[in-house]
Amino acid sequence: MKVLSLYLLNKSGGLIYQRDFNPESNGINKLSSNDYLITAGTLHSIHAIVAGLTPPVLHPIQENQTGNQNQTGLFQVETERFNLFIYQTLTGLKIISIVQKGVSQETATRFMANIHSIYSDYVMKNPFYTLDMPIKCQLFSNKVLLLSEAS
Amino acid sequence: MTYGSVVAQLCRDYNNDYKRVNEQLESMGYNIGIRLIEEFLAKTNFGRCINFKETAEIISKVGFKMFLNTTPTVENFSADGKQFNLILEDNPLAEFVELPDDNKAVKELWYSNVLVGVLKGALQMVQLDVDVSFVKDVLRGDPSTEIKLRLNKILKDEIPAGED
Repeated sequence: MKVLSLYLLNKSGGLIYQRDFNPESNGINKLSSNDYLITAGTLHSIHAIVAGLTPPVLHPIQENQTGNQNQTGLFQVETERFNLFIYQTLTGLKIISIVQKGVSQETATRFMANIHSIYSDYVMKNPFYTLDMPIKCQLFSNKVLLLSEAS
Repeated sequence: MTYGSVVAQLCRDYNNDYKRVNEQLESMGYNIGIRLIEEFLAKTNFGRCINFKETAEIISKVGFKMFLNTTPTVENFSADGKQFNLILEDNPLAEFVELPDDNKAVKELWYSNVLVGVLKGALQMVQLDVDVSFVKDVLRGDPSTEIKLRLNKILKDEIPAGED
């Protein structure tokens, strides 16, 4: 399973983590950090707008096994080259993953749930990490890399 | 023992000013709670609780079991659905503890006050503003250890977009 990029957003929509996996072999261009911040903020806003747009009659019933609390907001973007999935937790953390075309929604959701699990371990349990700030934890980065390489 | 030495050191540092020790324990608990909630959500995949009663059940049956391996009972659930008490039969933090013999500690110190902070912090991160406090403590000579939780309000503005 090929994940191309990962973005983590805090509850205010600020980018706290961004990573491209194998950028050269996947052909991903490196943007400036400012561009990443703008992209993250835009995705956060669009997610909220979509939640407002969804007609109430379409609201799904609470049948939720995966921990993804994203019911009515922007969930998935499909293009010719990649898919983008958004996973949101009850605390407002958003995990956005950009994956190759062949990857299914369940696989991506499982990947993002695992990212949530590593986040709760390596970031939350780091006493020197301030909440909602950019993540600079090396252990977290290592684990993310391992997870992206595992199938 | 780690928790015990923390409390003992706080008492020494604050010269047995137990009110400040209580406050400090609660703020330590708060910092733990706001982080603990992510692990709880990551491991259990629970969705939002429908009402406060469900919250009470989840806290006692899943939360406490997961982190302290004990299951408190939920009692005195109020008619308006906004308040309940948690009765801890065995408090793992205070298993081998006796409060010091000066008359102040037994009246003023809530030994496990960190739990109050943890509950308050964790619930705040899921947009529930709850007042948590100790009502009774076995260490003080009461028959049981009781924590009271009162829901002030649901922080509707902070609920993340995209939930039902």
